Amino acid sequence: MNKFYLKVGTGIFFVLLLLAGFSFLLQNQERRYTSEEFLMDTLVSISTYGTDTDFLQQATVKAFKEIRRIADLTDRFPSPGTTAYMQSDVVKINERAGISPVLVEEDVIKMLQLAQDYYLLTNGEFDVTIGALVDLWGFGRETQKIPTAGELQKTLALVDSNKLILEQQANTAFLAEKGMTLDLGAIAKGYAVEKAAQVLIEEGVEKALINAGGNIRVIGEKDKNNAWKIGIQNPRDPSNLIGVLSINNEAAVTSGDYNRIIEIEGKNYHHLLSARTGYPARNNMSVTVVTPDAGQADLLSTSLFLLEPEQALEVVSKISNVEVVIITTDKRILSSPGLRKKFEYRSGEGYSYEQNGL
Amino acid sequence: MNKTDCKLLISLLLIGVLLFVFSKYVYYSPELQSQVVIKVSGEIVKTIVLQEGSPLERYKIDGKIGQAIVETKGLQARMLEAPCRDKLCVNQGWIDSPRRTIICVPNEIVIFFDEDAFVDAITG
Repeated sequence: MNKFYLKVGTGIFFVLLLLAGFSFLLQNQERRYTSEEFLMDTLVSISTYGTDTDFLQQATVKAFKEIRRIADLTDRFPSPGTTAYMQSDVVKINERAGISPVLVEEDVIKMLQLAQDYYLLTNGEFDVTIGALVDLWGFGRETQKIPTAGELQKTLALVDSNKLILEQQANTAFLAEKGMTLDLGAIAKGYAVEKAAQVLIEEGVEKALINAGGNIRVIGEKDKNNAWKIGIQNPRDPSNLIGVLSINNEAAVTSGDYNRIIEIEGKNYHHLLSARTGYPARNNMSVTVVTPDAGQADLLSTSLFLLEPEQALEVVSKISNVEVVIITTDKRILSSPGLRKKFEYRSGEGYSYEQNGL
Repeated sequence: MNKTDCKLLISLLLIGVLLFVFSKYVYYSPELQSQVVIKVSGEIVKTIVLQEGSPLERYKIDGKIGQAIVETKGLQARMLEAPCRDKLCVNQGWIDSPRRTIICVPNEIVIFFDEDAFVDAITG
């Protein structure tokens, strides 16, 4: 009888050993911590990966704090009583247009400087002083209307980045003419996402995905053999994907003509206005930029969207570390040479994927 | 060692192996985004992109013998209503991965997850 119990004991011992082994393995299992907040007019989601969820949570809290800080600084229409109401540098700059320079945070100067660079790069198609034009159309307001030729002419005179005076040393920004208005909609989200990513990296997070309403920034790789898979929507059938990007340690941002649309007298007008013509740009349906910095990705996606496809590809070829997928209004899909192995074309009715580019 | 000892040892080892396998499934971490495909009589009639946290949505699908309703919520899908007699498809409940498929044979409707379509996020 004793021998029997000895054998049972040995058996149980081994099972316990196995269990101990598993619990050790399970403890070092990678976990995911996800948190979401409504910020900058969209849902911002941060997913961090690691073995210690307390650590991930703390890092995420800091990342969101940073996004909120940038959001407050750049809010053009803050509600009274919110921190943005006191903090928004954009409001201050706009209020002092034609009056005096305003002392602003370093991040705001950085964003504005970047915007100026892209103003030059796009020959004036992209202009961060586009606020007056956006307001004329009525985007984000109660009533929208098609501007008359006269109204357009008057308003376009107030859209001019040459009259945005930045003093790097003094950290001041000045809109030289009364009525000029800054709108950082094309850059603030991406910039905030990049700042948040840097916070996570500094905290020691090695793997994460930030999604701010389609502004994607990934940190690290998905896993040893796989990159993160980021889908690009079919511009005319958003419940389907036109293709998938495989990216690691970089950002992917898309500007599309299907995101913010207003309807006036039965016709649709989207929010990506050309600073030159005053009308929504009609060359492309969507432009997706892939590059390490999310702020640059955001700015570039809007800037390139405004250009003709071939022009856009040429601009991209001159900047290092930037790749792009362009979907033109006649359903052609163009990609920059460096993106080809990262982009998997799915399919779409009537679309053609040209594998050349420049 | 006699036969009983062998049987005992093997059963204990089997328990260990089962626990190990079970633990693998418990920690399967779902993707953040996926795509569900609905086929009627072999043809794809609908593809739906799902996201973690998506609200409840209902889709009317016309099958061979009548209209069915497919429901999606978050990363899951199910056959809510079906015109078939046995309702096996409805009783299957929610599916959330390519390993599971909902089939309504009389109505010729298949609901499955597109394995290739699993993405981590969607950029605009």
